[in-house]
Amino acid sequence: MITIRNLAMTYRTAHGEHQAVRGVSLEVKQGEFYTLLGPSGCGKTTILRCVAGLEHPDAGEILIGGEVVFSAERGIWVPPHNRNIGMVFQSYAIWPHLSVFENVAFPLRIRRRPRAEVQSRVMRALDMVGLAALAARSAQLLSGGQQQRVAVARAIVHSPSVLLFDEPLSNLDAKLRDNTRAEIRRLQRELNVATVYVTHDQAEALSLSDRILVMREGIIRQEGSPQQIYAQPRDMFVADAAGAANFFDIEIRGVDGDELHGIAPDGSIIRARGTQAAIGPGRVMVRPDRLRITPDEAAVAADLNRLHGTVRQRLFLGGHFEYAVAVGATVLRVFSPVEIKEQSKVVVSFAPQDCILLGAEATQPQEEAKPWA
Amino acid sequence: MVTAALAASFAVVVLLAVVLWLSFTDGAPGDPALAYTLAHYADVFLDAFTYRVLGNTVLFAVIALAVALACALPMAWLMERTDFPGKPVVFTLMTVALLIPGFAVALGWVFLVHAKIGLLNRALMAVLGLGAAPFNVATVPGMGMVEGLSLAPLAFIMVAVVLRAMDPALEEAAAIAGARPVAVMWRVTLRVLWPGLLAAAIYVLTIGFAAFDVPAILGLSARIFTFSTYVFSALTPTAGAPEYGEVATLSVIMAAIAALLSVCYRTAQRQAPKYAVVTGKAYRPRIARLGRWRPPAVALVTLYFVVAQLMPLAMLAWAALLPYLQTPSAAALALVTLRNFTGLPRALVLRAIGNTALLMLLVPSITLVLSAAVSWVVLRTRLRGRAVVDFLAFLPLAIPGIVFSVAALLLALFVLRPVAPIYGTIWLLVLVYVVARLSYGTRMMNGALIQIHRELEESASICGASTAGVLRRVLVPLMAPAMVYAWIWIALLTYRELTLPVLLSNGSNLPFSFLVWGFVQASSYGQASAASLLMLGLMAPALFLYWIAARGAGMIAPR
Repeated sequence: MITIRNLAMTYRTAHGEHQAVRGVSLEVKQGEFYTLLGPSGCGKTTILRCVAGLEHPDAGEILIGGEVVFSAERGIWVPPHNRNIGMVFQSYAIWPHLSVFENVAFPLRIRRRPRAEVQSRVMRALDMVGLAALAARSAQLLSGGQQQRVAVARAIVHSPSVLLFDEPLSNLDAKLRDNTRAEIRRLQRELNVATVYVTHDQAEALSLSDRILVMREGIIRQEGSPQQIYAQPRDMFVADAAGAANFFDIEIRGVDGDELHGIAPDGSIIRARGTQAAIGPGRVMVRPDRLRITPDEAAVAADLNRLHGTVRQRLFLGGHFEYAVAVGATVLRVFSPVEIKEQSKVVVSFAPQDCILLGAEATQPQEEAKPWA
Repeated sequence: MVTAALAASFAVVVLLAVVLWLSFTDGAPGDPALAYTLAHYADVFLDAFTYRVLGNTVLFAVIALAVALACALPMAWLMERTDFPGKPVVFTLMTVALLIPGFAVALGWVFLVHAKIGLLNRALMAVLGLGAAPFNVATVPGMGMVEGLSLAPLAFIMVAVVLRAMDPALEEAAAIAGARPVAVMWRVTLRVLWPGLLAAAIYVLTIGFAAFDVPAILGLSARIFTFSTYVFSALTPTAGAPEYGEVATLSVIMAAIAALLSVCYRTAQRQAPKYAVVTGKAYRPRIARLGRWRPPAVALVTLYFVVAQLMPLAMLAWAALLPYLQTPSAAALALVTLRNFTGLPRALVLRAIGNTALLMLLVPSITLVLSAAVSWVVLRTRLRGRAVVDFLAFLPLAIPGIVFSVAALLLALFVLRPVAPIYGTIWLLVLVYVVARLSYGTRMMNGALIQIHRELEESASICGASTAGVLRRVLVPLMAPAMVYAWIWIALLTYRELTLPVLLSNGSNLPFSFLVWGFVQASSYGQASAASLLMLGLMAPALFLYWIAARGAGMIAPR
């Protein structure tokens, strides 16, 4: 439904040029929920705005439903009002001078639909977001969550061929965010419309998407299903963007297909997965929830990797504990329901398939502040 | 701080109270047998001429507003919402235009379209073979148009601010919903911005209502009055002593109308944020591509600057260089002389420059100290009556300059004479200038103070700083850029001010603007032009300073 080929865009400001998107190609299928994930400034919003027709890209091509809406080569640029899309803005962009009903009715009024049709479609859209009771209310009197839902109703009321979301949950509080997330997913399934969703929140991306595109500095880093992005990130940046991650260096001693073994920071031999491994230094990733810790080495199954370390810090988070375990010079984050005292000697164990050898990358992602490191 | 704030409030109250008091009294002021009366009001309201002046003023202000908006709206839209080239240049020129003395531009217009001597009129008469001048600037519509052209920069800046405060996503959402650009403009942009635009329009109308420079220079000699010039001429009668009671009454009426307009302005302004979607996010405005419309857009903006600013100022220069005004030609070029400059009374000019310099130093400094005190009391203390202080500091915005001039005159003549004889001294000017600029100063200081989080001060006092220490170590350094900017701006306004000193100056305390005014009144237009040019020339370095400070404070250039 949406095809983007070699899209590139540079912003020119008084402070110089900024290459927001540098040659991105992607395809979103009918009914697919497609998420652009990355930190602010990575170009994800720019891509979305290019699809919407709110920006003039410098190069490439964009097709919506098979129709070319932008082509640098052929000099085509279809203005947003002719693209038949629905979009939810980060600020919701609810018009303050119109009522809830008129806000939602706007796309139909512009298309000069008959009165009866406007009435029934607006009410159906408001019903879908659970706001039918507030139709007559002034848009200024809405809470943030209600505004967000009006924005969604307005985006879907004219049955657009494409739905675009620009960080629609970032201005909501945490609890509301979880509920709305589920609602957006349900609506999108119901409408079965190609959807592009922009976010920097990994939980949103993982829970909502059929496919995720991780971006950095205007370039695609990895595309794949949420499971792939989470379990098999290509590099440190993607691993970090998709959730909490531990990284440590190993010395690879042997490779067998996509299995390898090497020496961990504490001197143990561990096994890991990596398709393009070679003998020599490498860096691996394990998710904190895939690590188990125990003070008793005998309890660890034989086929698991094991590292020996000391608990440096323990934080109680309700559902589980978060441990900082020093292994050699490295500190690992471990999520575990098991309660262990600080300064205990422990064994950290994990399955070889959960330990992923990462590809090389030029720059390091920003490390989170780790007070114990 | 509290004392300073109270002093500022007191000054405002006293000035206005004197006018009000005199409007209700009869007989020679200072006379112990003074009687209270409504006779002045009866006289004024029963005089048909009052209504003629009122009609003139309303027509004048409305035409000025229409012309100002017709120029400002398209230009503001071009600057804020399109890829118009060279925006900082336009913003800088607009700011400069805001500061060019109104009387200098008005003088230029006299030379252009005066019924008898206007060069444009004469040229058109010669070319088209007309028997009479096609334009007459000494009419209410003529004055209104000139005022409108000179109010356009103010309207431009106010409209630009309104346009900037809108979340562009509101427009983008409309475009995505299927609205064409014209429909977006009509159905969303204008409706959302309506309260803000209305407030800007009322503000410009208020300024037009109170304008003095243009109607004084263009209309006084033809005895076409607006309220400002009517009050002025009532105080400077050709024969006999001025009727102070009646002048006071006129001033009270004028102030009341202006105050009413200000109330409308405040109401409209309060409506504005209702529609502004404040997300705390830095807006990246939606920029329309001009494409092939770029050359006509540039031509339009250039046309404004040429017609509204360059042409009258060029005429001023031309008039200053000739012994008597005539159409530019080779023959006229041969007559070019500097006699108008060299013939200026040197001692008087030097005194005027000295006075102006003194005013430019004292007025902004005192105004800012008082304004900062008022802001601090209003925003940072819980003193009772601080709302009154706030209101009194806002009041000068509503009062026309000529009313302040009258008020200061009456105060000096009838109240202060026995205790502090400051009539005819520069101190009277300082007093009235400071009071008149108080609203601007407090608004600037409020803006600066609001941006400083209270906890910054609180943490300083927790760390052991006294109130004075907090002030010196935290507040003043943080507010410094805004203060420097406001200081220079008030200094420049002081430089261009003609209305306030027009009733208060004489040969010894005159500022430069009053010198020019003297030449105009004596019909020495050549010398008036020369003096105006000299004034503009001396202003250049100050303008440059302003430009540097404004850039530092991020006040010039849209982004």
